Amino acid sequence: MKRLLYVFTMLIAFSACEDDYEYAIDKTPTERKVEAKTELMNLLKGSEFGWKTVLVYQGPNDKASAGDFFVMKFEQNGENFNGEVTIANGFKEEKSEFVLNHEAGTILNFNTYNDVFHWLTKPNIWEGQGFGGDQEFIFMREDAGNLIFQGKELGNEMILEKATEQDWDMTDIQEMREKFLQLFEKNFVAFKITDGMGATEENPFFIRFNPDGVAINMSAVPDKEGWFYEMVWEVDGEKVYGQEASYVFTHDELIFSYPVVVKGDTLDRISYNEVDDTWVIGNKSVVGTLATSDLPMWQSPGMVDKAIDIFFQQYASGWKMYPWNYDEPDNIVTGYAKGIDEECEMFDYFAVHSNYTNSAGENLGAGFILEGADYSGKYAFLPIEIIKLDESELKFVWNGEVITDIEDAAAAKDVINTDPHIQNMLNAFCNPVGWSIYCSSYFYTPTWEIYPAEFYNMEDPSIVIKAWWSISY
Amino acid sequence: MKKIYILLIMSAVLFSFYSCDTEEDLRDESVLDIDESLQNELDVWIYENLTKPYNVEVKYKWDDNEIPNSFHVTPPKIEKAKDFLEAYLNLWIKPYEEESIAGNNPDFMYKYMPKLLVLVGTPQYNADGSMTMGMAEGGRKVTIFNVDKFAEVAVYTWDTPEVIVNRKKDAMRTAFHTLHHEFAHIMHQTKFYADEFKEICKGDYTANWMDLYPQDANLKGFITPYSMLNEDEDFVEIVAGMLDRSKYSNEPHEFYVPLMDEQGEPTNEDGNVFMTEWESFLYGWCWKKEYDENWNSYWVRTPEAKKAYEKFTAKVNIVTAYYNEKWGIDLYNLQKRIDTAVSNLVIE
Repeated sequence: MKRLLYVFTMLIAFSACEDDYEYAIDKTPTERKVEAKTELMNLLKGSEFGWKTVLVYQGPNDKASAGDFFVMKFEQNGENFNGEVTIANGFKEEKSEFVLNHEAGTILNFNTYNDVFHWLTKPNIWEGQGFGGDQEFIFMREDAGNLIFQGKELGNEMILEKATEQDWDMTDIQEMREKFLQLFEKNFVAFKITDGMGATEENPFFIRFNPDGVAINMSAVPDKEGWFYEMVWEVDGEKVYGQEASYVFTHDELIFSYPVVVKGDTLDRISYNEVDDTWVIGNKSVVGTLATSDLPMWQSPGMVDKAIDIFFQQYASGWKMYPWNYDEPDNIVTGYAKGIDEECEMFDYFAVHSNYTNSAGENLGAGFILEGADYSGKYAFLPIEIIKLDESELKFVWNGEVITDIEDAAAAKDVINTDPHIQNMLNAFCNPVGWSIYCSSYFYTPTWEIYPAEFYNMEDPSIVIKAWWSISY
Repeated sequence: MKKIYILLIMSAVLFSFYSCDTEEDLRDESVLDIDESLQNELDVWIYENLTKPYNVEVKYKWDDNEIPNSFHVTPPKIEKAKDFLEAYLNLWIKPYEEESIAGNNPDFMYKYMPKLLVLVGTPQYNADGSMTMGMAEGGRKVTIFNVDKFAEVAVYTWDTPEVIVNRKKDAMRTAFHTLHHEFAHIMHQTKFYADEFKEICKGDYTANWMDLYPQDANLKGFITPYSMLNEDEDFVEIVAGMLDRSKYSNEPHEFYVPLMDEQGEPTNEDGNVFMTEWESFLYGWCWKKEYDENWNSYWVRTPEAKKAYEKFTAKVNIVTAYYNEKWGIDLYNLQKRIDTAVSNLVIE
């Protein structure tokens, strides 16, 4: 027994000194960190023309999405793990600095401000995390020549793909944007979907760029005003507003940073086809075109009935043309109304009524009303016929008759027939082609339905009247 | 035989102690990975003007170790960081330095000024709706947020160049509020102020300061709503508020105001009074316009307003005495020095 104990003691004595640490990891942590950073630095500077990527962020609180296309070239500062990076998007190029750190992994840190890159990271008053962009990225792996990173703070993925010399020439992107913005010279810019999203050739589905849609506070990135859009569409008769989001112009396509998803199909990109001057949807499951028009491209069901039965008689004086319009001070009809209010001595306001009852309780039916000047209570009523042309198209026809309680009726008629502003108003309203209404309602509260309507003069579509009605249930 | 075994065991034990001593010589190369950072023009300027003379380190390049993890902010624009730092040197460091030398405390700035200045481009927007504009940590480090908006003013088409320059100078004065505030924290954390200060507004401090308007705070004897958070914030807000309002300190300005009687009560007579900006701030503290039955307006100072004014001025007296006695700094003289520095500052 004693012998065994002695042998055992000897074994412990000899085996205790086996230093297996050095065998398992033959480099110090510092050496390994340096190695990892060297590897990433070599990869970053290894691409002759740098790298390109598209970063699209869905805002952290669903308030706005934004993205951008970047090309970047890294230049090392001597043997150090930092240097300068030149970053360009389609419209601007700026130099800043970068540094490689090692914490939970090897990190690419865009550590000085770059106006081209950091706008997606900047916080703003309405959202503390801004558009949700990262400025530090953990290097995850190299995959088929691409460098895959993950945002350190918010976990966004960044895939750097090798850029070419042509990627730095942004002329095509600038031309694409110019071409795209030209579309908005028309009143309507909309996708007409004929396949996917539940649409067919016979029953197309429309997604419109909402011209008044962008309302987010851009004070943190003021130079990005005009780079955002909002789309609006209808599902089962209800208006759906997409998130306010930014355009992402790349060499190949225009990406919408907030995808429209309807019935499982996604639309988030288009490209310009120079040959036939069209915009082609890039999503495979959706077929359609991006169309423009000065008039609504589709009927808004039931709008004429609603206008006649409710809107044109909702208030005592009907649908009044006001001489001021803060949203659109240059609106043509506002100009006519202003002319009547300020220059016509006999009348102040012009209104449309579909079922007018005067102060004596007499029902005069449909007509234009010219209110007497200076709140006299006097009026001139011009009987009209409202003709329904389609679900959302109508026409006003005035037969020239004037009913008035103004003592000098002849003078009143004379003013109506000669005052240039009243004449402009009557000519616009009684244009021979009629009016097309674009309107889709939404519920502000469960019992409060809002109707933001746009009336387009079909003879002269530059004449547009925007109106806003509500119905409570 | 037994002796042999004992000998063997002893030699084995000895060998085991010896053999475990595998300590290697230190490596020739350092285990620390030290990078030489890229030196741009601003880095050189910082070294020459702040680091060398004042031993101040400035971090404006993004280093998330310097910012709380929950914050989402970006580094400042380099040109704005430069603007800020030039103003920091001329409007902040130098007036303090000159005043402390005049007050026989020449080492004051070298000893107490924050040794690490971290600059951040944006504010930190907090979940409670407030914004973080500055932070001080242990007297060593001060973080200044929203540098990208430093001294930014609105410019209208009808503004003359002179108006724009004056507006920028006004913005410069208030831009250092955060630094004055944070530096004052370093002061009172190093040498305590009199307990008497804490008694003056006892019971009026509240965590819900953000729900109050400035006039509500004034009516309780506070300079700002934030100063109602606690005694220390009250103390430092008075310092920062005084130094913000340095305009006309060298040459009082003519203000056309309702005149006051000998008791300090407002009269219905208007007239010209020469005052510094700080004096004009105190003048008419919480006065209120009221109307008689014929809708003629007249000024009144309610008993509550009078009490608030007395409380506030009592605190101001404690603060100024503290700075004089503990640090050799006359805050009124410092106002003058800042006024001079702002006037001398060339703004393109």
